Amino acid sequence: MLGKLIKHDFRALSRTLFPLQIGILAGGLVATLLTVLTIRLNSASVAAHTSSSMLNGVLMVISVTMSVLIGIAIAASAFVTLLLICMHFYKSFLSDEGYLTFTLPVSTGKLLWSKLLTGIFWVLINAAVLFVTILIFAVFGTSSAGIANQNVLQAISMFFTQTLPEVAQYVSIPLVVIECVVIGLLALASQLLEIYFAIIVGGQIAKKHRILAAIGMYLLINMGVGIVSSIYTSLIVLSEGAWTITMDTAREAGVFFLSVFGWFGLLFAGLSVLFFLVSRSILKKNLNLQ
Amino acid sequence: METILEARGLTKRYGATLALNSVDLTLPKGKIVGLLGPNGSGKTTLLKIAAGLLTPTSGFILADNRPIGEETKSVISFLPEQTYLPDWMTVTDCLEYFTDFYEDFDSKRAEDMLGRLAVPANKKMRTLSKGTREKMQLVLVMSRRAKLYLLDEPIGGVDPATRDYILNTIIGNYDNEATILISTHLIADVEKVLDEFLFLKDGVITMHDTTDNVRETQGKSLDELFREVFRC
Repeated sequence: MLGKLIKHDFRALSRTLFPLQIGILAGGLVATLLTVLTIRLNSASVAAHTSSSMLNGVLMVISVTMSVLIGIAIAASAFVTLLLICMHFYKSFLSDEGYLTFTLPVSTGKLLWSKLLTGIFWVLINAAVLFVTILIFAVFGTSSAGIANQNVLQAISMFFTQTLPEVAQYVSIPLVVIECVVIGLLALASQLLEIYFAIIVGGQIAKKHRILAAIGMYLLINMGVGIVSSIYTSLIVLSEGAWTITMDTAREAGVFFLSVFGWFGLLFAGLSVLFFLVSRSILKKNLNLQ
Repeated sequence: METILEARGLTKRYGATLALNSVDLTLPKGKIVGLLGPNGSGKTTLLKIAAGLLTPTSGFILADNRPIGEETKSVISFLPEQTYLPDWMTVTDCLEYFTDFYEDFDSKRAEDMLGRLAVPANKKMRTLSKGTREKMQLVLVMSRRAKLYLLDEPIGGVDPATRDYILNTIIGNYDNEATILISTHLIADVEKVLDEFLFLKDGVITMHDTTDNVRETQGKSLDELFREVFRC
């Protein structure tokens, strides 16, 4: 049944999120072209030792304005993606659609898992799309001569041929990658579950203005999580011997940070389990769709 | 006689309001039962608790001898008053959704009924009129081979022709083994199809009898009895 839930949640989210990601890529390409146009117009003016003509000036202002606006829109898309995921959760659980959701012969845990996994999937897709868009812009949108910016390509090449091998002398790269992926996923899961939890509690305490109540609850919960995280971080850093460790060598520093990151993974895992279990318990024992 | 729904001391409070007050109830299998009462008497609350959408304040309720949960939801088909199908779904999407989640869903039966309603398969819910969406929901709910159907005001707020369509759909798809609990305050329209009835007033069941018994012993129709009992 979890597979079927994921299939239908994925379909519901794809309806809005797929066009959004296509829009980000398209917007990124337009911004890249406009920026290249601006750079080329500017270069042409400089090469000709003449001040920009009126037409060039207007074109440059339009290009820069458009590029900045598209850049802002692309940056905002991450927030919009998260907002659409949360709205889908709210509608499925707390609006009239809840009558369909909660009469399905599936457990509350599976309903939550489905929302969590599809949410994580779309946040990752959005991150990948943003990364590709920025990469395209950096490589092709910042070149004043030729198609691609050779400096950027060299920097990317250096990262793989020089930086990584150097870092590999002190820490295990596969271990770092695995740790980053696992901790990143746990951080994402805890953040999504925190929002879902706030929406559920908001729905419990307010009959009207449930979205406002959910936002208020999120701010409150986030404050609490912030305090707990700060205390936890202090304890971990102290217990890892931050005041006594010399960190004279890169190896020592690498081991110290990997260990601290590991403890952060544990914190995110704990928060995820807590939010999941409490959310499930509320939906199971105190569901009140009115 | 086998029981499909049983409640003991079922109570539901909304703050200071007592929606259901220690309700005791036993419904047999294979009957069409009317849940009758004025607005605000607790009919919807009772149905929602049985469907698993509300948590009772106290007491217990069993459906098919099991506490309300994942298992009972697979044998209960609930029609709420609300239109709950997502706006963006097409008729085909809705059929696929029900086929995926309900093993007892008869898609052929649903397609036949929708064909008679002349609803195009590619139409999105948002483009259908409120009446057609309600009929669509009824078709989906009645196309399941459930053991217990909970129908909340299925004929409230619709014209007489639609009322006939809905009642015919319910009767036409009724399996003799199943029980239908139908809430309404339009007694005259449903009276002819009911085997039993429950009168609910201020969250308390004041009468539970067969419709035949009322006619034979009191010489009244259910509608007349309702007007007498619930006279303002």
